Amino acid sequence: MNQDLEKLIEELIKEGQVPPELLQQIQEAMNDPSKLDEVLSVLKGLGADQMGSGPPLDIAAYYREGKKPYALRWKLGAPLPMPFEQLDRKTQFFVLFQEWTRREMEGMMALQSGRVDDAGEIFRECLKRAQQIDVGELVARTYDDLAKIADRLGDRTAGRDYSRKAAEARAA
Amino acid sequence: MDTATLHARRIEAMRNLDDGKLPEAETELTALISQFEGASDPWTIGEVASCLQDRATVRRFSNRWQEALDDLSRCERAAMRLPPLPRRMTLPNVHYMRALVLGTPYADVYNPGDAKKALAEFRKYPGPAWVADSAEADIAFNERDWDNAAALYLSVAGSLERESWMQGLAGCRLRAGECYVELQRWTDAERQLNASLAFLEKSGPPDMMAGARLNLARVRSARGESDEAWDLALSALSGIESMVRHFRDVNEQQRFLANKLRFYDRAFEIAQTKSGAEGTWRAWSIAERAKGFYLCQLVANAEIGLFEGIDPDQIARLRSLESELDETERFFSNLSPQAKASPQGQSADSRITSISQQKRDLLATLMKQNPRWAALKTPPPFDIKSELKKLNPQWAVLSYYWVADPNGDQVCLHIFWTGRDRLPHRLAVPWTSPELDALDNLRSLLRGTVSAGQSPFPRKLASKVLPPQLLDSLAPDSQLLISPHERLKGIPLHAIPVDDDRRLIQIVPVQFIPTLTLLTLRSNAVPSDKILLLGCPTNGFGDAPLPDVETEITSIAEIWQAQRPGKVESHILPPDALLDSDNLGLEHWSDFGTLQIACHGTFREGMPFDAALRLGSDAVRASELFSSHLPNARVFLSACSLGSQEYGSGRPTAGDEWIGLYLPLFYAGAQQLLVSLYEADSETAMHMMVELHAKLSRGVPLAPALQSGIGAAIASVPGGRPPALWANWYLVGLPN
Repeated sequence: MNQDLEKLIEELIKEGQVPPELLQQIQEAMNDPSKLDEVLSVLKGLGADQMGSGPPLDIAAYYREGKKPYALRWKLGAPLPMPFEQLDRKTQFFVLFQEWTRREMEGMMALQSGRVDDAGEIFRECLKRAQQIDVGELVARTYDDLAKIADRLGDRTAGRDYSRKAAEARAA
Repeated sequence: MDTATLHARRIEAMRNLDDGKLPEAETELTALISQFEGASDPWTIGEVASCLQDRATVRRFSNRWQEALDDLSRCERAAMRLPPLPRRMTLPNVHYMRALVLGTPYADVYNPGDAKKALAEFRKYPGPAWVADSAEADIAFNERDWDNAAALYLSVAGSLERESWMQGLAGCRLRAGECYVELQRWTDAERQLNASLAFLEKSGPPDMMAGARLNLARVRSARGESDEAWDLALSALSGIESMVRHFRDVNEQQRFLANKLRFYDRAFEIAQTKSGAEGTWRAWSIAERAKGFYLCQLVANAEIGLFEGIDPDQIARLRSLESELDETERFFSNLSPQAKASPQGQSADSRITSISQQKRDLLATLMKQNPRWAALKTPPPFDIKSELKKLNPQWAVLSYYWVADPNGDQVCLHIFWTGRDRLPHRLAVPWTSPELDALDNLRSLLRGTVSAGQSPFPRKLASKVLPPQLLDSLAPDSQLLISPHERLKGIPLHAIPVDDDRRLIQIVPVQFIPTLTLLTLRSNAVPSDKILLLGCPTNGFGDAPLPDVETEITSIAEIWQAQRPGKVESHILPPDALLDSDNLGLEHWSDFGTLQIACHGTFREGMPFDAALRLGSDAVRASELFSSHLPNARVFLSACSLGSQEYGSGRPTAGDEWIGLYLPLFYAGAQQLLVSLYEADSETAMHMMVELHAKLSRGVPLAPALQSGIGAAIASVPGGRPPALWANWYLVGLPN
């Protein structure tokens, strides 16, 4: 593991917050399979996989066969080696699923840093992303995130409403 | 249940907390912890740690401090099983919460040294500066360092606002506002409190909203706007009372109330800023609302059975514990004094305490499990003027309310009274520490065995509780209804010396009432005209025989049979009698409007709901009376000590509840109770009861009948009977 990454992880443990540089490295690693396994195994050992909105998901388990390809409705976080439209449907699903993960993490960081409006906007986008690929668990997690915002603003009615929708999405 | 559902249920539990439903929040968190505490996957362990931390918060707000600390320790242990990052996220919260619990001056675990240590541990973890400032602010607030606390709270508020923690922001502004109230910086206070209230009125939680309203009321009051202040104070009180009602177990309710009584004291101060009679009525109404809250809650919901909707296995378990307790008590009571002191006796004694505690815990669980118990109806609003006007004009009403300043340096007894004209009068009487000590000492002397020479009330304190103006206003046919409070509760005020020869009850009939708010719950139903008389001169518990019981029951039976032939049922029970086998169980008692029970009574300290009437080989306990039905009955317990109440550390309990037989009997529907505050003299009891029933049978109201009864008992020996032998008889209930 390179020394920069080690330092950033130490900072993460010490400060309890994800440094933006670390986030960037993780995002870069997502596009570089040679680094990804190393980064993920270190982070998992530290319990970083428990810092998000739920246990890590096995993307393949959520893919359902279909004929119609997915549309790219939002700009990608990192360029693909080939145009999105040329990917097969399953790979498109994997890309869009990962993109939900990236945006949700950005939303959580916005929320943690007090940018509640930004977080709300991102989560509402995440909801549409989750609905596009029709993954109930992602829909549920996004509603959980929206509930967090409502609770922080002291709006328990909205918080309860979002939690109920999350439960319904999980049950569906 | 998956982790997501576990998480969602925890979050919902905490929303219940924010809605003011603390018991519901705790019940849910407890269920989640019980189900998942043994889990091994890190996500579930993390959620369980959060549940424990959240439950510690709920328990902290419920004033159950040690349990909150225990939860934090369990949370810490769970966190140590987590990988480094989530552990790092959990541990500082544990230290922070621990510092809050240990640093709360009114907490029973208050330990400023350990609080500082916990805070030092917390500071080892870097985090947002406002979290540490928040802890500093709380410490400054607790130390009444108002300037510093206000500045810190406002600094934290700025950070919270930037991060949109709106409830935290409202909380900081509320605390800053309260600091400014203490500093008498009214404009600053108003600005912060109004800003806080704008959020809290939309989103709560109710206790913070009540706090904001109360402090705003103090601001208005300081500005001489007494009516606006009064309206705000009443809203604040209603808000707090609505939270208190969520506690259906009396012990938990009392603990929660412990630091909320200041709401009553502040409202009381605000009430007094209104001049004239209106100010007196307002203050008096607050005084009454501060008493017997749980009792009124129970009586308002009297038609809801304790066991309604309860798991039959739980009921069977309660019955089994009752039988076990009876059996162990019988065994212990029949031991010789030497055997009682032996290891075998000590073991039985410990067993009694242990079973009683198990029973009490189970009873509390049943009360909390029953969704409608003490929860369906809210007692009607209390309009003191209107309620007192409805009373027969013969009733003069006297009420007490103790107020101590926040430092406890000065204690004042506020005395309210009204006579036939129903004009309110008020007097504030300061008490010195030695006088208070004398009163507290009297309370401890008037328990258990009391010597005949003991004074039931010191002459030197008489003028401090009985204003001469009140005595002067009494008419020959007056009766006195007394609503005592705290230190005066359970003290035989009817035996206060009024002159060299006479005690209060010798010049006016006296009856006590736990709180005048009970008047709103008076039943108009006509009681049964049937009379049940039960006597047990020798029981199966090995108690000394009561030679006068048989005469007492037989005489009373003759009296009533002459007036109400065919309506009297009378039984003398042998030592081996079992009530259910003899069809004399509690279900049978509900047929009667008058019940006279003469037997041994027991009240063991620390076991108020196991206070018992020993009838044959049965012990009829206070806890069992919760499931009885005695509609509009008058209950006369010619037995020792059953008028005792739990006082814990020697001081009255928070919320001024009547913990003992009173709660279940009033809940069961009884309207008046005659009980003994301490061990009764059997012969005095016999004379007094016989005369009382003779008067009652001829239509004399209860309080004058008791006055006659006591008069007869006094006169039954040459030179008169010493007051300690009759002052124990204590008539409590609604005026008839």
